[in-house]
Amino acid sequence: MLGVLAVVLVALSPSFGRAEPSGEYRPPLPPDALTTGCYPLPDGVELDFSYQVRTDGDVRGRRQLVIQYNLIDRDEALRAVVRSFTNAGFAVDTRAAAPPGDEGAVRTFALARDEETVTGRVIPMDPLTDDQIVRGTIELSLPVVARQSDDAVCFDVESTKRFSEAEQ
Amino acid sequence: MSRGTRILLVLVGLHVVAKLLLFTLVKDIAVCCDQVSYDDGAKALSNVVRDLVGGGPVPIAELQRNLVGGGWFTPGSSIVLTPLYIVDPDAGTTAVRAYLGVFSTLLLLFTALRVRAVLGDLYAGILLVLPGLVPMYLLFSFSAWGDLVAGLLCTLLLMELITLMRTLVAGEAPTLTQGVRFGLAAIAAVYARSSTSLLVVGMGVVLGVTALLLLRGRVRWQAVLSFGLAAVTFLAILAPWSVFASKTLDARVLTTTTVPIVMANTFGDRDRVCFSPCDPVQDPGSIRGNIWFPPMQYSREVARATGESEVVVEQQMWAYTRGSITPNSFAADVIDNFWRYAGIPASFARLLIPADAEGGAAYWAIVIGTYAGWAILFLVGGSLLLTVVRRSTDHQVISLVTTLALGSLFTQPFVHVGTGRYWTTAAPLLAIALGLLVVLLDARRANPRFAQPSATMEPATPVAVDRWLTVAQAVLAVATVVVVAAVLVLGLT
Repeated sequence: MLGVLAVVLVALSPSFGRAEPSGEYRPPLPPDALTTGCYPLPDGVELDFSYQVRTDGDVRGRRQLVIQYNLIDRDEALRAVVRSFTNAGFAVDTRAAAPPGDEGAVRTFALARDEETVTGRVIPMDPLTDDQIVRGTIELSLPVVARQSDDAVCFDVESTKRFSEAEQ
Repeated sequence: MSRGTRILLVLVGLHVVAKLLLFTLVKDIAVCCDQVSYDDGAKALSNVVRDLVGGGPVPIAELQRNLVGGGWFTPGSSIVLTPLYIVDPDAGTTAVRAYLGVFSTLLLLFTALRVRAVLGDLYAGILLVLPGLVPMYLLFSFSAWGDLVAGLLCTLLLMELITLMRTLVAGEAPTLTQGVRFGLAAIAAVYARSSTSLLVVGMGVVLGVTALLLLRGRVRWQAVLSFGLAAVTFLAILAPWSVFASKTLDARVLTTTTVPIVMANTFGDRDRVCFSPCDPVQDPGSIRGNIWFPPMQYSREVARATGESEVVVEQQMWAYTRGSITPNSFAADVIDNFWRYAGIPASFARLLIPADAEGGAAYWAIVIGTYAGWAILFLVGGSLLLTVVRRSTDHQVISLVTTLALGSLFTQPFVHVGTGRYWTTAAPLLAIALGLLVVLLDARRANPRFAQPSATMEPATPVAVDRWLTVAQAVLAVATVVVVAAVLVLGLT
């Protein structure tokens, strides 16, 4: 009897409408901060290696952008990030206050394009195994850039990674 | 009708009345937290049924997002809720709470019947009181968290195990039906909560080893066949989930994906979980306002940037974090987790009663009743872990397998941040332990009131079996003391 009722209810179920799951436990992944145009890199600069933005924000008149690089090693990451800027017209900054040098496993660089200056530190993960996907961090100090749009995504800190500004 | 039956019926009546009273508190409380995931999974599953019946394309993406998600949960609770959404796709909070309440009561009654058949009236009666009348247990029985249901299914599995052990001790082979039943109970428990996996595997090992030690010749082969069928049943039902979850997440997923992130968040240095601190939790208090979402989103970001599976990324996050763990930090975290596991049984009350009831008479009745009931269960029932029962073979079997079941559930604080709802899984097993201790105390009296559950097998039991059962219990008791002492010494120094 119960079995018959169950079969009838299942057979009729398409006519009852559809359930609407919320999907809240699998939220959409916010877009990569450097692809939205909200806070772009200096004009013409594009990172051509695998990375994810960890934090972004302005500190004492400079933009501090922290990204992690994947799948490549420190020296290749250093070459790649420097190339991303030199391809856009940046060159080694001879006016930099202290000449960039190596600090232990960390590699540093300083670049400039007219009045725009960029410094960076490339820091490998420790420990670092052969098959590790996330292999290091690049800390970039950049000219401050204003928010370029009022789109909702530019206020979504899970995309912009500007957490410290959200707290203020 | 016997006196025992009458008492059990009264207890069932009290349970139902208590549930009806608590339903008035929980009926309008929207599902929160992990329940949202189970609820979404059920809705997606109901749409799959609908589309299969209607001949339309099956909504795979919807199912992947809502049933599998990040692979955090096995789908048992979603499956339980699915029939409701098949009949009423727009079912509201009250319908969901009522449905879950009826389901859990039916499962409790079914479990009590099985316990009665296998162990007798006393055990069934204790189960119906502790945890059957513990207020938070009743409130949880209206929730979609799978922990409570998993506990009852583990108890059903334990009854299958005890029955099978009796068969083996008597030198007989289990039937094929017994094998299938064991496999079904085992997979049902894992579907409800993957945290029961160790218990389930442990029970299977106990069974296999016992059969190989006790049986010879043709009977042994029959046992192998029966347990083989149990394993096939288990794997055949696990496979669809494992395959679907693995395909969804592009990684090998057996039950869930949670271990790496859980271990990293529980024991690792949180400043390193995302190869840096993870993103701060957004909107604490919202559905996603907990420490589990930032690591998942991070692993998905890395997966997006590299084409690797997020599950593999999560495994590497745990590997990167665990270097910071020392024996002392691990033990200190275990103590903290155990406290959360066993020391705050009413902490979820505020998620299951109206805000304006908090602090009122009903709230305090729930809190006090829960602490009292749980304290008896945990302290008295839990003492079985340290007890070596020598009375009869059957008592020894019950003691050994219940101790093993409890011991495997109590490993949870060693792998997971504790919360005030995991105790609902252990509660019905502690009721069995409590029942055994009551029977043993009663048996010391001149005129024991509770009859031996199965005295008939006693004469046939070889002395060696008794001795091994005693040794096994003693080993478990010593192991418990050693582990507890080690954790306390390391964690508190």
